[in-house]
Amino acid sequence: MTRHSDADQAAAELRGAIEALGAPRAPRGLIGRVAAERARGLRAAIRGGEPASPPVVRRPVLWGAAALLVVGLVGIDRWPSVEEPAAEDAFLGGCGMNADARSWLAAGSLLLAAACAQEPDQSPFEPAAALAELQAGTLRPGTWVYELEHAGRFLSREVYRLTPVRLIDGLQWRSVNTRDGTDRVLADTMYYSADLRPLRQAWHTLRDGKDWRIVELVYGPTTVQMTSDYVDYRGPTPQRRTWWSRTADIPADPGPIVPGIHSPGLVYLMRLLPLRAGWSGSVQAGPFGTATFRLTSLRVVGEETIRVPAGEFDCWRVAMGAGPTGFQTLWVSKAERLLVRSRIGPEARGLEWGLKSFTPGD
Amino acid sequence: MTATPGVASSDLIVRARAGHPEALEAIYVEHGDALMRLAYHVTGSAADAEDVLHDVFLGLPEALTRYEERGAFGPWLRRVTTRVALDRLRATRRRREVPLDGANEPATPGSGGDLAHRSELERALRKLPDALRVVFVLKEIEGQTHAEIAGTLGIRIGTSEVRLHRAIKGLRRYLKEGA
Repeated sequence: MTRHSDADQAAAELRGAIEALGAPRAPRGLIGRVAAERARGLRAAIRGGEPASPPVVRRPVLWGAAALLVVGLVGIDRWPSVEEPAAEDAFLGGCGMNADARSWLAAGSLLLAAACAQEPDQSPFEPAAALAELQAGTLRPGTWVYELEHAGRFLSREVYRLTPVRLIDGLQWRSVNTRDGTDRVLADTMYYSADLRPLRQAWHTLRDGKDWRIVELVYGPTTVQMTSDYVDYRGPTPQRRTWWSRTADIPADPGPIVPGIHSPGLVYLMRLLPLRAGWSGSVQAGPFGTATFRLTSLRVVGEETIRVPAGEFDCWRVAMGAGPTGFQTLWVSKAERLLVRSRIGPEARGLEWGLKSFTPGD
Repeated sequence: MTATPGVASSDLIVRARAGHPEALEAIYVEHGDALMRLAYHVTGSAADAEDVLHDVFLGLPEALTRYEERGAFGPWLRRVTTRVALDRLRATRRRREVPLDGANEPATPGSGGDLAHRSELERALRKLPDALRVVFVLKEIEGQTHAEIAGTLGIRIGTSEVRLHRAIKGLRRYLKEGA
């Protein structure tokens, strides 16, 4: 009894003292950055509260998870040893995120299965009748500069530079992209085939000029391997560590693939679409954080003359249905097929990219 | 956006679930500071807490598909944040010798306590094993019950009670050693 009283009294003293330490306030610019990243297709697979209902079990997903599990257990001896926390620190052993690589892999597989099993089956937007067909030979090198605003406030400046890479066995396109304007700079390089199929991509989030997070996507014929790493600067030498890794299946006969909702890939795609009054077509957007692609519909819904920092343009107005992330509107110039503006959300409070300049490349 | 503090309307939840930026912003305005405080106490770092908040809101629309609206939204959001903070804590494997972010140390006007005492407390908290600190924070700062903590951490209620006891004991010992 006495021990409990002592403990209660000590807890009360400590509680008061720790509350007095305070805590930082939520940073004001964070939600705008999150909205911008979501608009680009970035997602975070986080663990939520209790599931609302038993997940819909999909047999292929379970088989996939089982396969990962077996591979992990068989190959576990080849894994590098990871630092073991004290036994007391293994507080989520029951949930699998223990420091042991074996249970990490097992839990990762199961979480992957759970996440995929609850993925909505269908986009709320009706897909267009057919996959979009691309016009060959209309892609040109150049540099696009956009300004991203949220509810009228400047968020970041984005530069997409597309250049051809001539290889022995053909042509590839390389897009070097930077986004700045916040305390973190996002830089990525994407490679596309001659017909604009994504090949690989590496995103680097820089903080104070140093790598902070690195997301890499490598596209194979049927799958995309996604890896998210971070750099740990706390030791004597910086160490790159894996945050998560997962594989997304590319849909069979996918048509054009757009990595993200607003991305350089979308900008370049506009140059290849045969836009005209009444045109519609589907593309695959993704893969998103839950390792899925979404069939996304594009429709020309009107014509409009708009003014952006780069000038005045006669545009096709294109509506884009992008799954649960909402509705996006694109304005594409008729003459050069430049994506001159895109908007997500209402005009007054949405996210809006406006073309600041376009410079044709060599 | 919300009629009652801490209680999100169904309409707001529906729109946030659909990923509408203004709905996410409304939730952020309502809960951001409290979640930041929770993440900060769990991770012990302002930078990590910011990353936690970032990840929570980046994945919130998808996570909301698992939210049952008959439960209170605020506690659910805190539970999600706690789990993301724990994931962050494990992933970064915070080293005990790294001090709490001095540059981001919050300003708490009128918070009381002299700087030396605050510094001692920070050192004591830093020395505490993650498992103990998390239980202490959830119980004594966030006011959760042992049953809620057990549910969040995936441990038994008895384990939560034992860890709290050890955390208090550890903090007192560290403070005494510091003195």
